[in-house]
Amino acid sequence: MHVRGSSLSQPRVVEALKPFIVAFWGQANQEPIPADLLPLYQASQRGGSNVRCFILGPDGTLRHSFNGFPGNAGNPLGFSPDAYVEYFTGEIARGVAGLKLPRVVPALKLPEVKDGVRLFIRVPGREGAYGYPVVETVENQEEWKTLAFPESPRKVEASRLSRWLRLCFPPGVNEQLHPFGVVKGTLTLKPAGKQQAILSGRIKMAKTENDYDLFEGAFEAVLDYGTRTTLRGAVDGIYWRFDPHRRRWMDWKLTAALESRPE
Amino acid sequence: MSRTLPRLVGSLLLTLAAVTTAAAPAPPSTASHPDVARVLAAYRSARPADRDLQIFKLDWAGSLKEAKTRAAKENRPVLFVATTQLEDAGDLRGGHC
Repeated sequence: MHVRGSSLSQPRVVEALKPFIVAFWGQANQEPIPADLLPLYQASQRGGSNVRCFILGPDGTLRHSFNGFPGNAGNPLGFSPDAYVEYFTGEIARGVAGLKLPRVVPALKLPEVKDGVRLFIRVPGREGAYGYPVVETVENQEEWKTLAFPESPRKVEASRLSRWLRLCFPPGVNEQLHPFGVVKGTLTLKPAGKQQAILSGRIKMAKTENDYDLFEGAFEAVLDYGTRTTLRGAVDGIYWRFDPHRRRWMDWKLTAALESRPE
Repeated sequence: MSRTLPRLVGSLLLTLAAVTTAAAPAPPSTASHPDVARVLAAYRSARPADRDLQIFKLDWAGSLKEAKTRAAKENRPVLFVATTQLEDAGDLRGGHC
């Protein structure tokens, strides 16, 4: 989604949105527009794209609405990230013109989990929607048990860690909005001293059993067995994306950092 | 005197260095195992810096209703983003949309 990558993630837009509370709704499968959104649509201008942005005052009244893409065009690829920034900051300023804004100093709030793993997934070297990391968390179920300290090297099926690995797909890719359904590969868990172990191996992932493997790469992690198990690791590989215009597959480098939480 | 003092200072420093070394044995460093050090370096390299995570400074509400309630209480404006006509909406906050 280019609104996130090219606009909402940009430091200047984040700065402009400091005083704001931000919310999102996405229609899926032609579901009806919720009743509380209908008045916003009815009061806003028609046209533009399927992405609409609404600015409401503190009293809930609609102050301004604008198309999610610059130039009222539906083609998000026709504009550079800088053009998105100019457009969004301008529209945001219009929406709050004359309003006394509170001073808000936002903190960096990463997704958190009580006992589990946090992942940072990104496509290095890409711009716009693809250039910004996705951060996901997964609450532990059986993963720590699966990765209990190995007295000697042992095999671990990657599918047993699929709740983590399946999340390693790129942001902003319209043809894949949900995690992988199939995780393949066999990892090795071997001791590295009295309290540590290394998990490593090759993995492949596909949307379904009947699909091509869209990701292939390596997963490596260090596990530390202190009073509780901690993990630091990385996924590094290739995400295959089909370019429908040039009719060819593109190999995108994709990385993910995995860290157990709490620290 | 002028020759003894530097010698005394010198041996004191040597003693301190020896004591320091003896008092602080090398911790069970993660770097002691080459594979551990290599994997931790790969993790650090893959983890984005705070400057790349600015979107997580946005103050998200879970719904329009929640955003409006909070806006009234905190005297703040709301930016609401909506997408339509998609087979599958994804999640804008997560980046998959």
